[in-house]
Amino acid sequence: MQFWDVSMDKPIIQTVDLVKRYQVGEVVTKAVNGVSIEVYKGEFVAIDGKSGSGKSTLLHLLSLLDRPTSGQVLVNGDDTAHYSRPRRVDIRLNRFGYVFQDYALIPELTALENVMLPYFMDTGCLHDCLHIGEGLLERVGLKNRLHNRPAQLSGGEQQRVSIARALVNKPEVFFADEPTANLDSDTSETIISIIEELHQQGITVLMVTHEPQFAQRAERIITMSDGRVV
Amino acid sequence: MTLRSLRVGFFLALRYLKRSSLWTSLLVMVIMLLTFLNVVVVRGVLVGLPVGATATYAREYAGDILITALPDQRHIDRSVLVANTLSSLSGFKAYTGRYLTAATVHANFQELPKTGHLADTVTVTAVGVVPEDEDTVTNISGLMAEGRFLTDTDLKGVVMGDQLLEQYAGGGPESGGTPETSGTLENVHPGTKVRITINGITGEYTVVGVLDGKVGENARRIFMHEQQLRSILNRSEDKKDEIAVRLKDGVDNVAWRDAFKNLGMVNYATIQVPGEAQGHFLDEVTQTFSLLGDGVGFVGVVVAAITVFIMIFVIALNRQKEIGILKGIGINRLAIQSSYVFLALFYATVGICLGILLLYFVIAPYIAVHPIDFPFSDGVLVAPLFDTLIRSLVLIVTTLFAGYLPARMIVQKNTINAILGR
Ligand SMILES: Nc1ncnc2c1ncn2[C@@H]1O[C@H](COP(=O)(O)OP(=O)(O)OP(=O)(O)O)[C@@H](O)[C@H]1O
Ligand SMILES: [Mg+2]
Repeated sequence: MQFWDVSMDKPIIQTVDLVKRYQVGEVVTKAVNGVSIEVYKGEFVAIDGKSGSGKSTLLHLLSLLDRPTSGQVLVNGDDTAHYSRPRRVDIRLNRFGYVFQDYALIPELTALENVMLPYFMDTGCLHDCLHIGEGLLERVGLKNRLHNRPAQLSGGEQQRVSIARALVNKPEVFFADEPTANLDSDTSETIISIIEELHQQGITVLMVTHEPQFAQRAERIITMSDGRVV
Repeated sequence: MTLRSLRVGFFLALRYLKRSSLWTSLLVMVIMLLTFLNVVVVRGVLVGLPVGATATYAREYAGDILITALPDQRHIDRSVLVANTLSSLSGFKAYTGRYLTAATVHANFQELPKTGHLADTVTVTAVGVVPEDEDTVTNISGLMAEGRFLTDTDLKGVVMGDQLLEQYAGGGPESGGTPETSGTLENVHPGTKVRITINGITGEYTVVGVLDGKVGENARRIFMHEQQLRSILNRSEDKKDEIAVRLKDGVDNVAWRDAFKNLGMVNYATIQVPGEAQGHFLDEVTQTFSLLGDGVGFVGVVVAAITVFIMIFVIALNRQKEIGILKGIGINRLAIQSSYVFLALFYATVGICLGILLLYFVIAPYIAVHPIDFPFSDGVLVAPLFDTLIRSLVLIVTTLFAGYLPARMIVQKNTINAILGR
């Protein structure tokens, strides 16, 4: 019976024998080489491993930013291989939030506008709904930086704007690729506690990190090496 | 969804504009402005040449209505009746009657015995006019290159068309001709005495002025007092060859012509507006020039398309990473592409609006006051507003596609590669 219950609880994201191969000249790199993992709703999973072990590549595949060479990525048990491009874009907009390693903010937009852009895309509401972005930025401690452009923000501040942007459409899954890289330990701590808070609210969190003390904060650690889970 | 995407695209375009450098924006707008001028004004000037030629023809020669002999007659039949009837129609302002005949002008008769040259002569059309009447209709006294026009007492004076004179038309020794074969007279100026032979009768006249007209009809004519000419020819006032009529300002000359014809005058003379009198030749020139102008305009549109394409391509290429990020966070392609199309449209629209302002408030008024000085016409600018708007629309549609294509090309790039810049 217990087995039955578990199978009822489908993983929100699952991969089957996932492979991503790059070829540069004669050299073929298997950045992700046969990865099969399951992530359940509400889980907080850390992905760690050495540099070049394929963590980022895996996260790109899981978040539908990239397509695998072979294998499957299932979202709520549904194989995404046949998903059309607009459908993948829509999933990224509405159900996933992604924090890039280098923040990836739009330089022409203010912090507030950066945060609001996915919401604007989703609902068509911008000026009337700015309070939503303000609330999020307040939550990540940037109440006084609403109208700064990325160039007018520190790295940690940009990272927090990036987190707020990933949250604006209330994602089911929150991806973060080394959210604490390049940040001092205090700022890193702030960011990790924000992420923990998300987890407590029931959002599924997948976080790439190579810092053991942060990986420890997750419920589960997936360790990668040479494109494989070890 | 589509509308929302366009709104996001518009929003992004506004931000790009707000943050882009003023000089880059200005440069792009100036390029669009020049393109617009290229597409609209160049054609306008080309078409303006023949149109200007007709205007010049009417102003300097034909008047608003030109009356000539019927095809099978030598002179205007019942000239006096025709002329007197003119004033019976409202809108009439003035007329000048002309008597034409062939003549030979002999210039160097005084030096001939000394130099031993052959006679320096040209054959011309001699025109007899009432000086005052002619001046009222064609303002001929304002067209003098040298000297003055005839007065009522100038029975022995003559005005020469400039194409008869070597200093205006060439054909002298420097260009390889001899005085005898050149078709022009040498050394003839106001004050020079010439011998004119008409109808076998030779008389000595003094050149009082040289006419610098743009109309071919006048350029090889000589003007004399009609009394003098008629007495040589023994021609009555009822045998005029041309009557040029000036109407009051704003009178429609086509309607006036028809009304005049309907008075029975069509039985005595050929009654034409300047466009008809000038013949189909100029129509064809106009057509050719407008075709040429359209060609130039087409090239202009192509150049505009390429310019916009390159511009948007460069702008979008510089933002590859950003485009990748936008796609990564779930902004759809339409929104991203449209942001670049809006950007291109903005530049094009501002450029075109500046162009229209420049055209109608600077260039057109300027050319109207200072016509482009071409040998055969005072070139005007033909750019009717409706035409201009159509052309602007073509430019805008071109911009739309030329902006869309490069944006599309760049948006197509793999998302993650764009974000990571690989
Ligand atoms: N576009 C590419 N072409 C060729 N090889 C690539 C490409 N992208 C990644 N790789 C290779 O794939 C492997 C995995 O890269 P990935 O970025 O996933 O590593 P990572 O675990 O995120 O490393 P890091 O901790 O340094 O970020 C690396 O060996 C990398 O060189
Ligand atoms: Mg990485």
